Amino acid sequence: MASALSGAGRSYRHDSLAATPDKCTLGRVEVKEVCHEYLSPTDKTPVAALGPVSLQVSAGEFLCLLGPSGCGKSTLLMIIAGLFNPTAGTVVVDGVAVTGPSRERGVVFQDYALLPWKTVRSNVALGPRLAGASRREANQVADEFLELVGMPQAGDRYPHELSGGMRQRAAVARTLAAKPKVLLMDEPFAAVDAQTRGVLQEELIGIWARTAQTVVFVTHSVEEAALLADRVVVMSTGPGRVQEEFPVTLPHEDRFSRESATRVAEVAASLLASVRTAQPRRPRRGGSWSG
Amino acid sequence: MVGLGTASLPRASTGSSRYAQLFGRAGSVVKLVLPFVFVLAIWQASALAFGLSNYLYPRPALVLRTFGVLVAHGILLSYTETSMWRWFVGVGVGTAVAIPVALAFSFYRPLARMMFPLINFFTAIVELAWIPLFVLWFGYGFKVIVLSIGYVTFFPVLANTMSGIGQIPKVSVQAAQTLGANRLQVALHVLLPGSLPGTVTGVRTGAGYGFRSLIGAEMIAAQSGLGYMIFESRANQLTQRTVAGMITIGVLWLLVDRLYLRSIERATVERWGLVRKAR
Repeated sequence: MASALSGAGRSYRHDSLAATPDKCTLGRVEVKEVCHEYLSPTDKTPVAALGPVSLQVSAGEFLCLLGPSGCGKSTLLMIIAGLFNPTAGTVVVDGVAVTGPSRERGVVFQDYALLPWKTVRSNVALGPRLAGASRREANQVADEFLELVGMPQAGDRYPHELSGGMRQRAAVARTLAAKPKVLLMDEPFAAVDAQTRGVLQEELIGIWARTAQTVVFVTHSVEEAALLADRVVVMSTGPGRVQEEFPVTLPHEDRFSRESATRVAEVAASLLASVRTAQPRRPRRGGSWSG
Repeated sequence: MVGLGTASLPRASTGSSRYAQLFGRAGSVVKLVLPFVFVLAIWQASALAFGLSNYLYPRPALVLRTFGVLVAHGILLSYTETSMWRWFVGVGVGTAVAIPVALAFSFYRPLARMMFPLINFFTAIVELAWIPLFVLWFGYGFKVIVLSIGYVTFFPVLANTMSGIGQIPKVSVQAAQTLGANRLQVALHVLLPGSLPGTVTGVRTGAGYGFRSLIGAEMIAAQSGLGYMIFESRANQLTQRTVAGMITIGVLWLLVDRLYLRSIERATVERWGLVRKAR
C-alpha cells in the first residue's frame, strides 16, 4: 500500500509525474458567486438551477456537498471540474480561474466512467500516459495505484468483468494516478451495495489521509457526509444555494470504530435536520445534473 | 432404487449432452449444406426439363468439370487472388478515408450538418456510374477497381462510425478530459475505440457493397479477375465459366464473412463487453 507513496507521505514517488511538490499548500478552491441556468425543455425559458453560490475549500480539506435532489450539488461539482460553464460567477483554484476540464481537478463519476475498451491497468495508466509518460512508466504507476486501492491483481481485466465496488475502486485509482490537486467525487458510492460502500468509504479516508488532497465529495446521504467530511455544506433547492455549513470535528481515524458510532450518528442527525428544512416546498424538476 | 436413479442421472445427462454435441455439429453442417443441395437439385431438374443446350443453360456436371479445367490451368486461383487483392485494398482505402472524416465531423458538428446533403447526393450515385470517368482518368485496371470499391465502402463506414461515436457515453469523454486529454487524445483514446462497434458494422456492410462493386467494375474495367471471367466467357461461348465464376464469388463471400469479418468483431468488440450495447 505504502509503495505508491514516499516516506514523507505527502508527495508521490514518481516526481517526474507529480505536478505539485507540496500538496498541503495547493488545491485551494474558491467558488465565487456561481450561478447556473438551464433551458426548460417545455418552453425553452431559462430556469435558475443553482446559485448564486460562494464557498471556499482549503487545501487538503475534505468537503462534503450535501443536499436533496435538485439542489444543484452535482452541477456545482461539474462547474468546479470545468465540465460545465457557469452562467455567472467564477471558480478559482490556487489563484487561477477555471476555464475548462484539466488534470488538476480529477473527477470520480457516479457511474465509474471507466473506458470499457481498456484494461483496468490501461484505464489507470491513462492519466500518466496523457501527461507524456512512457507506456512502461505509466503501467508502473498504474500498478502502484491499483495496489493502493487494494486490487493489485485486477490490472489485466476489463471493466465489465469487475463488480461495481471494484469498478469504483479502479475509477478512484485512475483519478488519483493523474495526480490531481483537487479530487472531485460525484456520489461515487451511490451505485454500490451498502456493505461495499462502507468498505470503500473507510478506504477512501485511508487514502486521503496519506495523499492529503483537497476533496469535494457530493452526496445525498447524511451518514456518508458525517463519516467522511471535515466540513459539510448543506445546500437547499430552488435554486440551489448554500443553506448551512457544519464543521465535523471528530477525528477521521475514529469515525469508523464502533465506539464512535453514536457520535457520528449525532452529527448525521443534525445534518438530517438541516437537509429536511432544505427540502423544496413543492416538487420541482432539477437540471440534468441535479443530484 | 432411488439411489441408483440419482447416481445414474448425471451419467445419463452427460451422455445425452455428448450426443447433442455430436448431433449439433453434424446438424449444423446439414443445415448449412441442405439449402445448397436443394438449389442444386432444382438446377439439375430444370436443366433436364427444359432440355436447353449447355451454352444457354449449363448443367451442374459441366460446371463441375469446368471448375476442374479452371483449377488445372491455374486461371481460377490467379483470378481469385487478383480479385481478392483489389477488394481488400479497396475496402482498406474506403475505411481509411471514412474514419478520419467521421472524427472530423464529430468534432465540428456544423461542418457535418453542412456536408450531409452532399454525402447523401454522392451516396445515390452508384459507383458503376463513375467508372466511365474513372477509366478516362486512370485507364483500365487496378486503380479504377480499387477506387470504385473504396467509394462504396466509404459511405457505410462513415455513417456507422458516426453513429458509433454518437453512442459513446458523454461521461467517457469527460473522464478523459479531466485526466488531461486534449482533443486529439480524446479522439485517440475515446472516440476511435468507442466507435469501433459502429465501425466494424460499417466495414462489414461496406465490404459487402465492395464485393459486389468488385465484380461490376471488373466486368467493365479489367482484363483479369473473376468479374472479367464471368463477363468475357459468354462472348467466348463458355457460359459454364460464367456460372463457375458466379459460384466462386458466392463461396468466397461465405468464407470471408465467416473467417475474416467475424473474427475482427470477436477480437475487439466482444472482448470489451461492448457487443450488447452495439446491437
